[in-house]
Amino acid sequence: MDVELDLINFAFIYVLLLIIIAVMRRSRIDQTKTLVVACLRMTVQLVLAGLLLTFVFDNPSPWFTSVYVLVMVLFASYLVISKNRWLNRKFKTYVILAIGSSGISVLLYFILIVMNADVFNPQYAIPLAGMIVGNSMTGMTLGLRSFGSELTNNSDQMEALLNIGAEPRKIMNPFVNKAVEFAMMPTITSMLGMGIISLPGMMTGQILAGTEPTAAVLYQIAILIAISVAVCMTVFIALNLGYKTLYNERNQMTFSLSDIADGQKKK
Amino acid sequence: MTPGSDDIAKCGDDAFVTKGLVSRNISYPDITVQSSRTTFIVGESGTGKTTLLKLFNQTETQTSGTVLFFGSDLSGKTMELRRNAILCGQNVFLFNDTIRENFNEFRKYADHSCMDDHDIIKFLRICCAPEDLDKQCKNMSGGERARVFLAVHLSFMPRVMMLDEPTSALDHDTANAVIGNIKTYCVENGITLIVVSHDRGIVDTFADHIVDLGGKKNGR
Repeated sequence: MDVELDLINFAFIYVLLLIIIAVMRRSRIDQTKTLVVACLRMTVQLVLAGLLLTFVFDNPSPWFTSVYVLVMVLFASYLVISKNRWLNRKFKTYVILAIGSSGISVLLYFILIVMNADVFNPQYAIPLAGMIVGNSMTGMTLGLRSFGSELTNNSDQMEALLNIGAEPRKIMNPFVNKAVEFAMMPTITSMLGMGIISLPGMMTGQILAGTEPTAAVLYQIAILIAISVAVCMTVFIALNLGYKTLYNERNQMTFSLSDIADGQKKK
Repeated sequence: MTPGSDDIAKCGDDAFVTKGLVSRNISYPDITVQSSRTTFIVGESGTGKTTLLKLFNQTETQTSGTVLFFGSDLSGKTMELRRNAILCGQNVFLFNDTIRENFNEFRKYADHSCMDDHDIIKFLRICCAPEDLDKQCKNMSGGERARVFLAVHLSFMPRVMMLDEPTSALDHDTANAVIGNIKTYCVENGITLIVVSHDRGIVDTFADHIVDLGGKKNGR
């Protein structure tokens, strides 16, 4: 089956952007430049990624695969941290460790046990790592935003409980749990509509590229479960280690509510 | 119920003694709060009244100086300190639940056992708060909430009870009744009462001792 896109035909997809630009003009949305820049960046980044992947696939090496996955983890961590500047240094470290350890352990399980394949095969490891780490990143961002809001919205509660001699650990625990729930729910609810409302991107891509739909479905189920687990582990680990950095040995809160509020406004 | 309170009792007679206390660019005079008495802390706004209470319970750390609680520096044992010197702050917080559940929730957080209805009502009555234990706190007025908040704190029966502007949401008569009842209860039970207030009438009526943090000269 020939599914290679003709480059000239492919270029016609960009014509559709004129519709967005027209809507923006009409609705006086001053974001045309953002749209153009975003599209250009996407195009350049993906073309580069494509070239890089081609190179890595042609020259398979455990080193290339490992470095590629590591760069993904670090870049995802950087994006999460840059959106949550209020986090202290230790908390940030836990975020990086959580994204890395959960992502990589789920990835290893997936390739070694579910696919029974070579972990360093770049054709498996890199796209799977991308999906797992990318979703962990989104989950982590949601979780941290929710946790930050819980802290700012419940400052009276924290103060009152601290003043009767409640341990900071106990005071913040409900906020941690709520944030973990908040971060996990989108991934879990998306399973509900799977196959009816949405044919997920990975499955669509495989079908377009000629895979049997039944095989694509099995992959999709496996990857969705893997993603949910990775999101769950990342957020749980990062928040449960991280919140303990927010008070000192004198049981005083060491974060500033206005820093959290500022950080969230900028986002 | 209050771990280590026996140790503390032997160590000194004054509830709080401060020496050379400085925090947030405020230098405090040396303060002695005698135990089992009612001390009012007065002073213009910005003179650090609330901060002083936070230094007493070490939810804030001073820049320099010492705070002794019954003769000991408890800055390393803050849980013990805060459970023996309960602070009822200015910002009223109640859980979105019934009055009974609020008592239970607060007590759980400080590792106290639940209280039976009879005792809860006793503390609500002292604070002139609504006595319907199934009443939802979110449906109450600001003044009612403030009084339930006070009652919850009093129910811990600490050695030292600190109230920060307890009457700001209350009218004059209610304020007098509530503070009068709380003082009586504290005297009967040997509880040291520390109140931050700028209500001159209340201060003059109930203070055994006044700590004036200054500001505009007011003749005290």
